[in-house]
Amino acid sequence: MPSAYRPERQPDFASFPDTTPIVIDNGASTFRIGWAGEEEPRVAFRNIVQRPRHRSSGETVTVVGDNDPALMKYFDCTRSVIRSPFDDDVVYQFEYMEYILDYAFDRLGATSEVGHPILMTECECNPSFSRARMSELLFETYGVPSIAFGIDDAFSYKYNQKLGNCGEDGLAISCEHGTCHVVPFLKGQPVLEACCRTNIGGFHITDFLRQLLSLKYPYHSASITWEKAEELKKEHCYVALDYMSELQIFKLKEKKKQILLKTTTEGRMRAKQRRAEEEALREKQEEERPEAVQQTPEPPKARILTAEDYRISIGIERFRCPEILFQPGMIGIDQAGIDEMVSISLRRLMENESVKERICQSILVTGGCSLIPGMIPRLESGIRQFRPYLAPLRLVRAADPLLDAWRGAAAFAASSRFGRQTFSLADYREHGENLFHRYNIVYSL
Amino acid sequence: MEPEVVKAEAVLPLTLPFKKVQMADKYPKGQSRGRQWKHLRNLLQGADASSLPPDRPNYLNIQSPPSIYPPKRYCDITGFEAPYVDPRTKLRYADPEVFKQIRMLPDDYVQKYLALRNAAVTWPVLIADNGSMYEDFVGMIPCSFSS
Repeated sequence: MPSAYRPERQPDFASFPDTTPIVIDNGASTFRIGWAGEEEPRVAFRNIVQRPRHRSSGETVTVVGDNDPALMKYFDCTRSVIRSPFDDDVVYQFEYMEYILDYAFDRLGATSEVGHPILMTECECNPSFSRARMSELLFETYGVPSIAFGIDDAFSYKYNQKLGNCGEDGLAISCEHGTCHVVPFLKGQPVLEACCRTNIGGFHITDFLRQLLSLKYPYHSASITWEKAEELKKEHCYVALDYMSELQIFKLKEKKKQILLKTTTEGRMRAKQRRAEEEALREKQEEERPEAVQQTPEPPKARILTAEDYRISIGIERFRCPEILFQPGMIGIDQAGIDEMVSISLRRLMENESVKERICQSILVTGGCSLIPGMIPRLESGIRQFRPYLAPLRLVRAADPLLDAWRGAAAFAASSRFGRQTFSLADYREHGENLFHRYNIVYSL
Repeated sequence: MEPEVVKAEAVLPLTLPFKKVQMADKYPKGQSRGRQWKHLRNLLQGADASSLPPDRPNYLNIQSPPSIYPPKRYCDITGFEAPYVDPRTKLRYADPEVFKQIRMLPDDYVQKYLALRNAAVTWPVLIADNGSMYEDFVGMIPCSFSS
């Protein structure tokens, strides 16, 4: 019986004809794979690989994705680190990519060669060496007949355009796991010349939270793992509308709490002092009595651990951690935050004012980090700061920020014109890596 | 392999039917493959100039430039606004109570706080080897001087 952590093996791989494309959303946080034309990906798991050592036999095994902690006790995980094939948002480690693809195709139910065309997502302006190695892997190891690469943010935008959330000319702000992108769209096509990327994402927020908490509570640093910090981030973090005033409000609250604590501790200390004085008086009286009384030495009182020692409180970290998306200087990364990236992207676009106005009326916010509460109002106030006074502005969050990229890609792959956008093994052998220098698919259907 | 592990299919099998080349043949046992994979920075540096014409967008072109706004200074310990810097440790602090805490922090905590904002210091370390002294830079961790 499959556990809650592992996706089930799909039984109907053989029922799909050879022309049905397989759609893969290769994200830095989650890997999603499914069939073209469907609404949901069949298999989705966390895009990580672990190689622990089996305790009894000593061999090194591979575990892909999330795992059941009850089963992990059979493996020695002390020397195995969680690894991802990604660095920022580019795949560079193809050995782990191969393990992940093995697992994904196995879960999709493949028993013989994967003879279906594949549509895979990548980041904006993916370097050609990454595309080349990926194509090589798919063609030579899995026997795939043809491949197409597309940008995940563009698929998300096209899907939301069909739903009516955004127009033909617009902007996509995507806050992903390792990076944040801003891509403008003109006439339905992404304008890659004006694209902008900052290397801050959900991973950095979680890591910042984890480091802050482990520094504040050093005794708990072993139990504050990255996964625990991610849970805390999803539950408690929010984006402050105005960071400086939020700090002021928090400072006032802290002061009030400190005063309250002080009065109670002062009262306790005063009571303790009184008790100590009474003890000293009694001892003096006893000494005056000439009695040889054996005074047993009192054992040293150990400080009893109260419930408070096992509690961690996160207050300022709730809005301090997501703030690094807007001020990457807080963790030492010298790049622009996402509201400034929008201005940079519009400047790089070099279009006249009416086009910019049209673009700003259809801004889509997508990606995992857009689910943090308070993100949209904060982005709106940030963008309004550099737009002309009272320029119209409309921000919309994607219908489903996590799955829309896959859904858009599946809709694209199901269209009749998909076949013309792919390249086959023969094309790759003929042109080699030069094929990717000018390869960009046409998104308008 | 324990039966529940097999039933839950937690581990990736060694041979898969849809693969032309199995992992065991591609990466034979015994070779340390950690060093084969270059990091993204090295790969981008190694990419030849002909494949990256300056007029077309590529991975490096589209990166954001540094922010035009001057960076705000926040306290390293509490997170509030920090107008002051401790001259000894270079940590930023918001008020005198935090300053007392900073002065009582052990050295490795100071480095960890600085590492949070990418400001940890690299220390030169003098190592004696067969009587000769040479300098080696150890990243981010202050070591005690040994002679």
